[in-house]
Amino acid sequence: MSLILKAFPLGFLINHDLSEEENVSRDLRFERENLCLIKIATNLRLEDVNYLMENLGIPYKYKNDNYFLNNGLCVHWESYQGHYSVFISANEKTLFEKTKRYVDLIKQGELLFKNFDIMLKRNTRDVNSKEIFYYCYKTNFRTRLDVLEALKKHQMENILSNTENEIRFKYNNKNYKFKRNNKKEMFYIELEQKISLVNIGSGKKSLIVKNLKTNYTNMDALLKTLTERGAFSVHSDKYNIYCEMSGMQFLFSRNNTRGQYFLSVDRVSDEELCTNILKELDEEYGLNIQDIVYKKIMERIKDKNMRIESEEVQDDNSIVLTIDLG
Amino acid sequence: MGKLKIKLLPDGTIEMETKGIKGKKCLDYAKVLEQLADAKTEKISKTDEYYQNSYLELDESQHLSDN
Repeated sequence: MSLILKAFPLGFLINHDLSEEENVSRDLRFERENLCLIKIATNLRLEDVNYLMENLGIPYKYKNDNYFLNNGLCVHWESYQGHYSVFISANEKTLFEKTKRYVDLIKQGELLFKNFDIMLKRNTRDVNSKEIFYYCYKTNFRTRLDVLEALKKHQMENILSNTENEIRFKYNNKNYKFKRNNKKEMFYIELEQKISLVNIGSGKKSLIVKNLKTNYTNMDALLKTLTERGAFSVHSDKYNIYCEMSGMQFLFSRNNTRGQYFLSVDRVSDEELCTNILKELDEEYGLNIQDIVYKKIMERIKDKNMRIESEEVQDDNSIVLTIDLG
Repeated sequence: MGKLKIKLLPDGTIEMETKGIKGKKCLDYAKVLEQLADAKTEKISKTDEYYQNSYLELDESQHLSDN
């Protein structure tokens, strides 16, 4: 599992001492060491979750849907519209905490999902999830006042605090939240962010890029085909169409408005899946062209002083029109 | 007069056959189909009807030039 973070915690938001610095920047060490929770949307259903947890050799089930793994992870499952999201955090009582070593959630999360993929023989993440994904980081902010001062100093927007234990604000149009359960605790910071999952699927890491020449020339038919196939993030201009499907990035491009599109597929995580998608696109595009041509012929034939004598749909879905020339 | 048999295949290709249209005139209908479907002709195969009539037309022009 690799993650592309569209937003990331700034050092000063995690460590109070850094808030004094004028130029704040991304601090990978703080990110790794203070990350305390990751939420990942999956395509798993209840039976999958039960199967995985039973076969993972879980040593201790704390409460319903909460599991402590022997690698220091605490795994919590929550159902959302039939599918489960998993919250991965560090089990505070583990050896890792005693030895003052932090649990590397990114690394352990990767291993956990690699196991899930192998056990279910498929990619278990919900790559099409539009759900807000969030990370929680520990901070060393003790008081509400410290947090507020730091936020004001760095000119954060929309600072809101209705309770002693929660402060919300915006930065670069993204929502952040300082939170703690009670006054005795340090604050942790929660980042709401949309993420893209890449290099996914059965542990195969791939950066394969496929370049193909297509027979596609009709932009409208192609856009319709992609939408029907469930493509998202679809963007188009006169010469290009970009979209994403199953974590892969598809770019159709051409040099003029009537020519054939060239296709470049980036981040091919699963070659078989990619081939199947291309096959489905081919079939769907052909049917869309057939439909467009049929409608055009039926509409224009009257102007040509011609008459449809018969119309037949054959077993292979071909449409045969017999036209009487009068 | 003649007939056109147009086959729209599910892969998006179009096939057309002319019936009862003799000689080179049948080729004109390729253009008609291109206009009807906004398509481009990729391949033309000539049938017996084309050659049969083509021979007669050639014969006529030969006759005219001889005179």
